Amino acid sequence: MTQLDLDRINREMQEFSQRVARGLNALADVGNVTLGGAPKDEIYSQDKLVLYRYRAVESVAPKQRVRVPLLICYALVNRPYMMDLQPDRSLIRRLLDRGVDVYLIDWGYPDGADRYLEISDYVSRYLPRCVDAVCEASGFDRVNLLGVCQGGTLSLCYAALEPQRVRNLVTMVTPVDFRTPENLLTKWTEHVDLDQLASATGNVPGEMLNALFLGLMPFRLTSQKYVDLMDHIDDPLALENFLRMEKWIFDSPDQPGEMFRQFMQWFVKENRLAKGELAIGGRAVDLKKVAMPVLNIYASQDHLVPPSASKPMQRLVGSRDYSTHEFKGGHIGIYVSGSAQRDIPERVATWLRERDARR
Amino acid sequence: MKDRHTQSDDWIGEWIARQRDLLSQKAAQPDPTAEANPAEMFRRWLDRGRAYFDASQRPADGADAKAAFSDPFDVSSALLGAWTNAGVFQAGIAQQASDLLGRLPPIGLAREQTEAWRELAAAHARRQQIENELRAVLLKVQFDALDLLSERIRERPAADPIDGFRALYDLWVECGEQVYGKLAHSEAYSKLQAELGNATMKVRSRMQSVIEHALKQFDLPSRSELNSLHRQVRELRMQVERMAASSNAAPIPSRKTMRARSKPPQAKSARPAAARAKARRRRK
Repeated sequence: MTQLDLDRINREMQEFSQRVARGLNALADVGNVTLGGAPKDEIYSQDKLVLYRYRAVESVAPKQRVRVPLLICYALVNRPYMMDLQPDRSLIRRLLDRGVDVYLIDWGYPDGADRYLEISDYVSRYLPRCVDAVCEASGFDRVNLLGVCQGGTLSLCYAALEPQRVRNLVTMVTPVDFRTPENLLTKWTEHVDLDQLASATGNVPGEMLNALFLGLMPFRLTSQKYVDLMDHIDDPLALENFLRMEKWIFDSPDQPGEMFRQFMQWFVKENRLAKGELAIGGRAVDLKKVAMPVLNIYASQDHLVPPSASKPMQRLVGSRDYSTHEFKGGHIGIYVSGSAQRDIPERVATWLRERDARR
Repeated sequence: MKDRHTQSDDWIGEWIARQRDLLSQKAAQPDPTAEANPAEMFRRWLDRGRAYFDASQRPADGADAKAAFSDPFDVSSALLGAWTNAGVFQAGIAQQASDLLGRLPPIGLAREQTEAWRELAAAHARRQQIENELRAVLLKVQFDALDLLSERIRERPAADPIDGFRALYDLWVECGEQVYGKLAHSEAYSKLQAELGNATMKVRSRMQSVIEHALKQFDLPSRSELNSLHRQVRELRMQVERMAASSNAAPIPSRKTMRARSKPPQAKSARPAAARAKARRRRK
């Protein structure tokens, strides 16, 4: 190694070390980060589930409001505050700004008492009661339903079973066909003994799923991400943003054992939803009954729900008013990136407003 | 004098070589679960003894004595290594004894517990074996990533050299993900990873059996008992809901629903369902 190169590398390493030292101080000074914050009220609860209604933005003109309420059904895998992470990264706030009446289901943190909850509990008990509560609170007899990721899959099932309760359906990064070649999680599940997994763990630990997700891109997610953080270590706001994301990523509720087993077996391994072979609570889930307007939003760089898993929705549902939107980004960016903040809420609100006027 | 690109290649090449050395060292670390080779163990002890014997036979020959004990740290480390290996050797004997016991059918008063412990030990050994296989595969990913990194650097145009450690690191991450991504999608890897998960779950369930047996001895509640209760509560709740539905009674609302019902609708601009139904009737 030449002296010149050695000097340069030493200098770079020294600078990096100094940055790390400054970073540790900065991290120690940040303290606890706050999450969410859009004003909301709890309007219904059952078991671990809580349903919130977000307070409307008063300054929105009545003509600009979307009258039919929007119920957001989030996945069980992570916490729903991703939809309202911080004031400038909040799909919910941006929807409120556009006059949407927003409700959100928080599934809570399941514990041992929930290990025998089944998919039917979510699709045929919890979700219908939340729809009832939203209808009671808003005075409408139908809702606009927005399902996110796994919550989108559950919303599709609900819309197929109870189409008369859903005015419009919006799905975000929602898998429908789980057996496409790009779907790495499906490949990894193929040989897993799900019965044994659910029996041995009870509720499937969130940490276990986190480890699995990190394993999708281990070099980036366990190393590079933290090295990159040092580039922004002098920026307190960037640091806070990073810590909020870390909190969300690793704040993973355990998955009710039986629900998880059924989901992985029926949806992922056997692909029953796409094949038209799914039944929930003894009732066939026929996606052709999803005849209401559908807006399907997927992310082009999604490594968890590849576009190929989401796009087949178009041919599977019975809707004649089917719209699709490709967001240029990933599974996380679709909630929090700057471009998502500009693009997604406006698209959703406009799409809903257009259909709000129709009878 | 070397040009800039050559200089760049020098330090990068050295860094890659260093990483390979580190990985090789990691790969060469003795596997404590592996069975030691007793013949190899005895040969090492014999060599050590011969060196001592040779040195003592030539006390006047300082050079030879120095050669035999050239580095006291090396001697101690060799001894330490021998002890470590002896530990492995003992573990090997223990493993053989365990294998033998494992093949004998458990009998007598403690038959059930013996069997439970034996199954736990077997599950643990199986899990360890698969973990080692996976570890080897992941180590290969790191070697292959370094190979790819070398290739990418070779192919890089001279006008665009790697100009810092960070750039090299980022390229290494890219290569690592590329190599790993290909492996991760393979059937063999999916299977191996699933096998590790299945083996881990087996250890967990065997451990639960052993613990539950111990809890019973002290009349303490176990997870199985709690599960049984949860199942009964769930069945009862379902029955109540079915009864409520069949008697056309509304499902029992939660406290919050009651509160929500008492509130007037907040969406003033929206036309309530009742009003719209009335309007529809009027149109008819």
